[in-house]
Amino acid sequence: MKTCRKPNRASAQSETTGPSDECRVCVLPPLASLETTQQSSRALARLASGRVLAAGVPMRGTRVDQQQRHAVGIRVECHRARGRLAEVDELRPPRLGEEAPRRSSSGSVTWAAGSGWSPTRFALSSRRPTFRTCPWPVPRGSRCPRGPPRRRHGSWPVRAAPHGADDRTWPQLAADSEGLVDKLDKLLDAARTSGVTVVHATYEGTQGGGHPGTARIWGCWDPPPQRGRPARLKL
Amino acid sequence: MLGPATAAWAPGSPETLVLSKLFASTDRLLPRHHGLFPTMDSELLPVRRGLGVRTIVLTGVSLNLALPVSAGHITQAGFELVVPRDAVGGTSVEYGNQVLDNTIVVLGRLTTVDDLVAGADDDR
Repeated sequence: MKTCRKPNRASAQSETTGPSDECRVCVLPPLASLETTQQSSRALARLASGRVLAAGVPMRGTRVDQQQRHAVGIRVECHRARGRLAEVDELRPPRLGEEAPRRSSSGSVTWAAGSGWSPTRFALSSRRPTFRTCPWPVPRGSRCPRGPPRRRHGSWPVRAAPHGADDRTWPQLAADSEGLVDKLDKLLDAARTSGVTVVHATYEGTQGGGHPGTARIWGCWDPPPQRGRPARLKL
Repeated sequence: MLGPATAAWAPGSPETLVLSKLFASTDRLLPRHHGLFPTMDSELLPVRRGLGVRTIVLTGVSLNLALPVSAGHITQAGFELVVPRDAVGGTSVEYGNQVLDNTIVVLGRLTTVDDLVAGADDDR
């Protein structure tokens, strides 16, 4: 896999003369590497409606020019396998009245005749698509694990002290948030300069009120007062 | 524990004041007297909506509890959520990163302070 570059004269020539093993099909990066789902869907929409899939067959990955790549905010890559072409097209939602492509048990994808796409069949390699969405967050370039990554237990102090005076919570939080104030200072200054409203949501105690909640983090509070009981009806 | 630690807190107490370094006269202050989350049963979100706000940048502490729940409230109320990952904190640091990468990321957009500041500069 290699990154697409703007085609030079030689590569453009190879596009028009016939199939080439290089830089033929653009595939989307894993969903996890996109910033938001909205961005991903925008990218898909652009790919589906743009020149890539509308340019006819054979489609060329390099048809997505540099400006378009930046506009949709995706990193477009090229794959050497010709069959990836069909996999890209699987991402395109079927148009109105068009039958969705079907994947056969042999690994090929077919479209219904008259769907506007030709040829109607592409051979797919047996490898799984590289852009398959990974449900777990993985570093860019890493393989998607079969299961969720193992979690190491955190050191949230409340867990260790269900009841009683545990005053480690805030000092530990302060220690782990070192440098936060400077970052916030920078951000808030930029926000104010840009006209963005800064709202500080603070906590000022209960004003003499009782029980603020049953969360264990509140600690040594009395149980919430019982405000009446269900009425009994005498028959 | 928060109960004993905050029992003596009252409006004007030093513990309840915003750090002077982070406060400007043009800022809004929304003190609450209940609960763990500034977005629940408070006027924060309805007033922002009335002012035409569409996007909320959530910062501060902590990723352990208040920020994820508030992020849920914010998105449920229809606001776009942006969280600069270096402007939020939690304990432990590893767990904070896990919350960002597993929970916040499905609610809003993760970014950094530098990216936001650069975007603000571009808008001007």
